[in-house]
Formats: sequence, C-alpha cells, structure tokens
Amino acid sequence: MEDIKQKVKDFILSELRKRVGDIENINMEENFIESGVIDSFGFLELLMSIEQEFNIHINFAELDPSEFTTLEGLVFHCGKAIAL
Amino acid sequence: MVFNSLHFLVFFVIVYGLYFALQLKWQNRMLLAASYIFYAFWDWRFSSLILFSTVLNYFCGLKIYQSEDVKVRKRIVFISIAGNLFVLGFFKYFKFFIENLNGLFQYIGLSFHFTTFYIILPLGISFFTLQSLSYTIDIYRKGMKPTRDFVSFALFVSFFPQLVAGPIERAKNLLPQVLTKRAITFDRFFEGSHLFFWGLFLKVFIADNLANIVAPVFAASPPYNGLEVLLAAYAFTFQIFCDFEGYTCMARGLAKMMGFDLMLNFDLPYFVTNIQDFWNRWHISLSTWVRDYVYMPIFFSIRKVNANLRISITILITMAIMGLWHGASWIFIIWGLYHGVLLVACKVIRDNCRDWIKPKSIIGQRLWAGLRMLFMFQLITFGMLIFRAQWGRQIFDMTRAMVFHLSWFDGATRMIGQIAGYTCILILVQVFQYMKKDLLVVLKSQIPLRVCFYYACLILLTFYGDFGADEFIYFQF
Repeated sequence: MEDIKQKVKDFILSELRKRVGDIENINMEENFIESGVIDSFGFLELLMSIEQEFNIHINFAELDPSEFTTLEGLVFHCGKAIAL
Repeated sequence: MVFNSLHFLVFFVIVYGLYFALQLKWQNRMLLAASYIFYAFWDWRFSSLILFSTVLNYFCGLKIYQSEDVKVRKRIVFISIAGNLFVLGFFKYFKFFIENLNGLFQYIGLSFHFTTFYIILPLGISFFTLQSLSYTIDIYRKGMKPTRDFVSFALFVSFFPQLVAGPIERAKNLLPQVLTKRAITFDRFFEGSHLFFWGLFLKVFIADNLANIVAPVFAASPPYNGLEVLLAAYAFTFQIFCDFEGYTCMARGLAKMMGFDLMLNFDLPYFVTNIQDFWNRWHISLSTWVRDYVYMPIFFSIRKVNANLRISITILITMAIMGLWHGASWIFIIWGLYHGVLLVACKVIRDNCRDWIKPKSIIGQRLWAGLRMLFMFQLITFGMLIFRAQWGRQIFDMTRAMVFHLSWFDGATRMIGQIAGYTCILILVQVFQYMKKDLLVVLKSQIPLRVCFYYACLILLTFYGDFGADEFIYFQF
C-alpha cells in the first residue's frame, strides 16, 4: 500500500509541477484550492489525469471536498482505489 | 427591519445588553429567539419555513450519522435535499415554471393552460436553505459530525445577522462557534464597529444614492442614449457591490461584536485580471458553496467526454444554476450563462495562449495587468447590465444604444459628477486596500488618518445619506 501511495504522490507532484511550476514548499495537509496552489479548473484536470494514469474511478462527489483537496487526502483516496 | 433603521438599532441594543448579561446556554436561546423575532418583523408566517428546514436537517443529520448503511444514508440525504428544494422550488420557482410551461403549450399549439397564482417570496429563503443543506450534505460526506443540541443548530440556521442575505455560512465554520463560549474583546468590538460603520456608509451613502441615478434609466423605454446607459451600467456596478458588500460588512460587524467570525464574502472583486478570479472574490460564500455542492458533483457525474469539453459543460450548467439561484427569470439564467461563457473562454485562453501573450519586462507585466483589470471591469459591467435589465429585450436595446448611439446628452456632466462623487471614497479605500493587500487597512492606519476618515464618512452619511431605502438588492433572492 505504501508503494502505491508513493507512486500516486510522485505522479501528483509531477503533474502539479507541469501545471503550476515550483511546488517545493507544498504541505501535505494544505488545501490545494484554498491556498491557491491550483485553481478549481486545474484541480479537476489533475483528478482526470490521475484517473487516467491509474485507470481508476473515484466518485469524489460522495466525499467532502476537504478530504481530497489536500495532497495527503488525495493520495489516500487514490491509493485506496488502486489497491481495491 | 433592516440594519440601517432606527428599529434595528433599538433591537440590537437590547439584544446586545442581554447577550452580555447571559451565560452561553442562555445566550444561544436568547439569540435564537431574537433571530426569529428579527425575521418575524417582515412576515411571521414564514418563520415556519426556517423551522421546517431546521427540524428536517437536524433529524436527517442525526439519522445519516447513525447509519452505516450506504443506501440508508443516501436515502436520508435525498429526503433532506428534496425537502429543502421542494420548499425553495415552490416559493421561488413554481410561478416561473408554470408560466414557461404554459408558454411552451401555446407555442406547440396545445390548448392546455395551468392556472398560476401569486406566491410571496419568503425573505432570505435561498440563503438559509443553502446554509442548512450544506450541513446534511457534509455529514453525508463524512466531513463533519452532527450536533445533538437542537437550540444551537436552530441558531446556526437562523442567526439574525446573516439570515436574510448571507454570507452563506458552512456548519463547519459557524456551528463550532455557536457551541462554544465566544470571546468578546475590545479589539473585536472595534473591528466589528468599524465593519458595521463602513457597511452602513456603503449602503446608505453610496448604494442608495446611486440607485436614484440607475433606476430611472432602467425604468425608461427605448430609444436609449448609449452614454446614459453606459453611465447607468457603471453606476449599477458600484451600486450592487456597495449594497451587497454593505450588508455583508454590517452582518460581519454585528457578529464580530458578539464574538462570532463570519466568512469573508467580497475580496476586492473589481481588482481582477480574469473572470475566474472575479468569482474567487465575488460573493465568495455562494461561489464556494456552488463549487463544492454543484460544480464538483456535476463534473463527477459527466463521464466519457473529452476533458476540456467535460469542464466546459460543467461550468455552463453550474453557472446557469447559479444564475437561476438569483431569481426565477430568464434574465438571471442569461446572466449566469454569460459568466459561464466568459469562464470557458478564460480557460481556453489560459490553456492555449497564456505564455505568448505575457510580456517579459516587469513594467510590461504591470501595464498588461492594469489593462486586463480595466478590460475585466468592462466585462463585469456588461454582466451587471444584464443582471439589472427589466426584460430580455432591454438587454438588446441597451447594448445596441451603447454601440450605435453613444452621444453626449443633457445632464451627462451632472451624472458623471454624481457617480464620481458617490464612489470616490470607495475607490480610494479599495486602492489602498489593494496596494497594502489588507482589507482592514483603514482600521490599522494612524489615528489622525482614521479620525479624518470616520469624520468625513459621518458628515457624508448625515447630510447626503439616503436613509429612505428599506431593502437590499439581495433580499429579493
């Protein structure tokens, strides 16, 4: 499970780097959208690329946005979906 | 009972006095009673709607939390959403729906005709419905736990400073404040008083005086003079901001004086360089609500389409709903779609040509940002013209006048002078706030400057304020 999570985390960070440039100081618990790391369009594109890369389908509408708008939360939920 | 009335002053002095004298448990009970009395001043009969929404969501919240069965949880959240939307739909959209259905029948040649009847729109229904709905949805999404304290929950739904026009608070922010002892300090009291005073100034001096300039232009029949329409549109852009931000500031100020922190609703929305940023700064409590409970669920329900198309469809549907939230009229849907199209265009430009249109030098970048800000203001103003239009055809007639009949008219100098006079303090304050990146910059400035500011505002309020208005624009939504 930890391997999967690391893989997801690396992928998210590389996608964020592509979209917003420097993300050196990103905090695991920081809300992507509210802290301005990425806007809501960019965030949805990020989710789509994660789903495509790992061939998973997560119904984020069932989750509280604060659960998946942080790096920690996103890695957790994606990791869980891949492991299933 | 509006904030800018003598009745309210008396009401608040009594409530505040009692608030100081009581302990938490009785403070909440007293605030709950005060909130219902506040609402009953408009129409006591509709207090039952707030009570209905409160009872429904209180029990649904508890039931959702107690159940582990996904199907049961889904069913209960559906009951909560359907119950709330039914009430909202009946009071706000029933007439609109029937009229359009009758129009459609007539268009396709059917002789069917449903009878419509006049329904009073309960004040603030769109605000307290969204606020209480977010509570059950958050519990369903496991984003928070429900409260067992009915009085506190009822106060969260009906808290009088923000009951009728927001900010639309989230349970996660307001409910914990209701449940715990609030700290009232001199700093908070002064900040609250400052916010209330600034809100009062925005409403009574700027918004209500500008309303007197705007109303005759929009009430007139064509042909229009393009310049007059343009000036009225600019005036309305300031009017609606001052009206709504004025209410929000007063609401936040009153809450702050009682130890509550309500969320920010406006963050210099006219100082933006793209439309997405506008929506990050305009009516923040609604736009974030729509983002979390409408935009994302729509996005996740659309599958099997190309990524860009998926986002564009989501934006357009969301903005049409956002428009409809404002009122049961095609004009608001057009306004929402107008912003939807701008947002889609913003995304297309951002994805395809952001790098090649960005100047390299720092001066060039600043100049470019200034030009974009100016251009954005024109687009926002045109959106406000749509928003203010009385009927669909008026949008077309006014736009045509601004393009083809832009000529000087008698009274233009006076109109320009009035708009400039009413808005100059606002513009100065906002430029100051923008440059210092601090919305409380006036409160934090040197005492002599602050004294001059309050004195100038007080003089303008006393001698030129329009205290006759008994409504805020957003009350009708």
